Amino acid sequence: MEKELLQLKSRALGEVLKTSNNKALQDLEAKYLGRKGKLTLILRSLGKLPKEKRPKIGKLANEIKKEIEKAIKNSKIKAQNLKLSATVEKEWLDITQPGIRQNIGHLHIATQAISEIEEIFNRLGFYRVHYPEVETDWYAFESLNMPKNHPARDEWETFFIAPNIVLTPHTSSGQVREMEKGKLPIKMINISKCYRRQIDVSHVPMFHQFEGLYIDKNVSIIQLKGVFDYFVKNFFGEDRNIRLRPFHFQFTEPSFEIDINCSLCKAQGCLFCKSGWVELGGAGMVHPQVLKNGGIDPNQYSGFAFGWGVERVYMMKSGLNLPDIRLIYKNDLRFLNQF
Amino acid sequence: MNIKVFDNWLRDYLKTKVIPQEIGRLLSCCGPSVERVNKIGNDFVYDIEVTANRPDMMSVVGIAREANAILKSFGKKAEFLPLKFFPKKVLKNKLSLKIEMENRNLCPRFTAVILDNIKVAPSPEWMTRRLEKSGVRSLNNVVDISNYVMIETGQPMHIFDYDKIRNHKMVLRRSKKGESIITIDENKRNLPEGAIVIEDKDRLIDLCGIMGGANSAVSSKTKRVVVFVQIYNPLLIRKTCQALGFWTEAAIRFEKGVDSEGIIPALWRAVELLEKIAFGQVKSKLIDINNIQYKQKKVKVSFSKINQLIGIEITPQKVALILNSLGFKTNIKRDAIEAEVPSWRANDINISEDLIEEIVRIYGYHNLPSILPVNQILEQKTIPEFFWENKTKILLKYLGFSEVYNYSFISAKDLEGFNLNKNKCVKITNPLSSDWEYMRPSLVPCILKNIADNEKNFSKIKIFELSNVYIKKSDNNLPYEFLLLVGALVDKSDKNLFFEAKGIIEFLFKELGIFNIEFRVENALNTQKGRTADIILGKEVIGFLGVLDKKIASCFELNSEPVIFSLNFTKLIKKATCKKIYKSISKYPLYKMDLAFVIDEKVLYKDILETIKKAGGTLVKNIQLFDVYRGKQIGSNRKSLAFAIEYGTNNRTLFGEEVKKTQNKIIQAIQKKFEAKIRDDKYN
Repeated sequence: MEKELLQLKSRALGEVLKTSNNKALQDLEAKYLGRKGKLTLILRSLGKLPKEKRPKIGKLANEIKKEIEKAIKNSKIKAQNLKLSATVEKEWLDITQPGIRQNIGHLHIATQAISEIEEIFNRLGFYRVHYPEVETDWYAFESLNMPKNHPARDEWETFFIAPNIVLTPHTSSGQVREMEKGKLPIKMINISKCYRRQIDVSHVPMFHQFEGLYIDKNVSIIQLKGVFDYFVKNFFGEDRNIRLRPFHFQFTEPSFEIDINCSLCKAQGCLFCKSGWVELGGAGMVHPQVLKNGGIDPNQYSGFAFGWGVERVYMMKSGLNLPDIRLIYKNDLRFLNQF
Repeated sequence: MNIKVFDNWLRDYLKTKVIPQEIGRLLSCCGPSVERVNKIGNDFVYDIEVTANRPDMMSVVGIAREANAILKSFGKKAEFLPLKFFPKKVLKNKLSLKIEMENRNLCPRFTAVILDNIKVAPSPEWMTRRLEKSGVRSLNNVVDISNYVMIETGQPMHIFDYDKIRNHKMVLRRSKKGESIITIDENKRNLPEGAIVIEDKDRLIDLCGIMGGANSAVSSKTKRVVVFVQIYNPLLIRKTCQALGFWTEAAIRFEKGVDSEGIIPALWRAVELLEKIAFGQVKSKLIDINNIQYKQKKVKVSFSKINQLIGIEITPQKVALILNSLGFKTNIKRDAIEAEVPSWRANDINISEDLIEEIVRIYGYHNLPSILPVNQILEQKTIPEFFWENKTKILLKYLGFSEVYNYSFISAKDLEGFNLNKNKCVKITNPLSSDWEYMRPSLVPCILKNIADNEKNFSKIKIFELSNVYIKKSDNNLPYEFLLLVGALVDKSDKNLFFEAKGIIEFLFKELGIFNIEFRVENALNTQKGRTADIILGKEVIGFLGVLDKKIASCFELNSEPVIFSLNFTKLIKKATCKKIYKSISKYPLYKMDLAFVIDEKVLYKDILETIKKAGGTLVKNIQLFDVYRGKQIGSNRKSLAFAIEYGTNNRTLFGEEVKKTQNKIIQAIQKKFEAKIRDDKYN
């Protein structure tokens, strides 16, 4: 009996190992372990054995049953896996094919630059405002300490609507308007279209500026430096530095130009820059006359202001070397869709 | 304005061993911007930007004086050597000049000296070299001297041929209407009224402060000359230049203001050179008419103010030292310093802030720390407009639109082309071209041009612009400015382009939290009849949507018929909100039934929808149109609409019978009202 069992075991296991198909495995299961299976029959016949042999043979038969069950189960899993991988093989993808194009549009680079600038100044507590683009001579020039016929006005190629109405040539025309709201301290950022009467490869008649104005008690030059450092490091990168270069504007005193170290030559001096520095834009401490024009007492308050070109800083940041700045406003989708 | 300064010449007035590149770098930190130091052979030339407030630095001597102060502040050894001059006296054989002046204000100071025995010849090599390095062409020794002294001292001057001045008489006056003069460059200048001119016996011989007359110019035969050094009224010089559209080196200096105390040294410097290189001899007394006596100014500033504005403390001693190095005489009075302004800075230094600028720039901006102001929370906030503007732009981007930015200008032709009245538009008096004569009252014409430009490269176009437009109020008032949002879609292969656009607008409104909008059938001027809708918010028309009129499309040279929409964004976003409404989610299932019927082509969806809602009552939860069909089977001028209707209640499960009963009510209402034929194939 014992011998018979062991033979059955080795035959059964051998057959299971050779079989890799699920249906055939089920058949084997029936053949050995089914109700009329060979092992089942043996187990049923155990009762006929002498009493003393029963435990030993019984134990052996059960072990064999478990072994065969286990082998069939394993083979079934293998068979299943084989089937799955065959299907997967059939569902093969050429993953080098391009993805399906999403029809997503593009924001203009002016919008992208404005968002980024606004966000940085927001973090410093500057709130954004807007003021008229078609502006009176008073806000655009006179209130900024540039009386009629002042030579400083020549710096702006101004478009006129009427003798006293202009297209604002700079965002500084928002300064006195903001002061007139009568709320102090002031910490505004004014980003807007500006207009100057010139067009060539490096000038467009409409462009954007961002104007910062901070007025409070005890505003000082070292704070102006702090704000510019923060902006430059956040907008251009940690490795960029600024310098203040003395300059002159009618509506600030002292006045400066802010330069940034040239990214191309690492401040060694190259064709692109002026001795290692590139001009970012103008700034200064608000002229006391401008404060007075805005109804603010210059003996109690001081402030700083700056007005820089949006397109200019964006081009400097992105390293876009456009041969002609007019491309920005040509609205050729082959250009716009690159951004 | 930029000037060129020759290093070799600069060192006549600045004794230092500091090399040119270093001088350039240090000047830029504290004074005039040295944009480049150009090396030409063994010579160095500084390219310097001088700001409008510092005409005193538009000269070799001026730069030397400034460099001296700056080099010293960096601890470098330097010494400023002022211009030396030697007045001459003549006792016998005197020549004379009769001067008449219409108005003392034209010419605050008038000086001249006459020289004889002049020999006009080429200038010596050293002089031509210096002039050429400074960007001036050499002509002859006499003319060169006037240029040389101007570059050196900043004082413009003119040299007349004494014998060409008829009657040796000069009348300095303002020009009258219709007068003209031929200047030494042989150009006829038709003068505006009020230019400062000089007339001799009977003709104009000088356009003062700008350029001399050809009729009195020095020539190779000249023997006797008048060295002529003046200060003119800056405003009149400027007005004349503006009227003529013509500026000269002399005029630029005069309009910005020259040093009233530098005039005599410059005159004697010119005389010295005329003697030295043109063999002249002084033959007159010094003619000097001083109409406005120079008074020295004093400006005071407190130390607390200096320290407050700069942000750090600078000692009184240091403040005094800096001001002294720039030529200010100072007097420390307890908590303030009083400074006597040198004559060459008389126009520039007026208030205490002006002195603070001098102090801090020489102290060095690079020596100041950089401190962020404490961030207070302010009452003022960014206006919400920008939030919605941003949100809308991003939304449109992800809906496939590319953003365009057009110039705010428009031509009369394009205004007419889009049926816009140019009289209601803001007109530019000095436009760059006739294409850009008006400020645009609509963004559509520009968008149409964008389509025309891009059509050859793209068969599908989706673009938008969100920009201000300008509507005239009256001639002397500022116009209305408000934001418009305009979009355009082009796709010849898409028959549903109108509804694509409508879907976009509906989605946009939903995202802006606005639900009470309505599209109303309208026949607009610029869009096609029957394919146009007004967009109504509340009771107000805030925009339109439509297929562009065929005539306008051809007027703008389009190959397609774009669908365009235009929305008054400024009005729109006043209603925008982030508010959300939560509706409880029903536990009970919804029954979905389809319903399709054939109906006359002209019956509006909107009316059917209302009928379904009314007939269905509260059990109808959702109604969705999912198919519109037109075809032979259903006959011409008919359309088939298929709806999916969902029924339900919030508090229990509906019985099948209830649903059927309601659906029947809806069918009956539609049949009765629209003579509709129910399509059984869809009804089960």
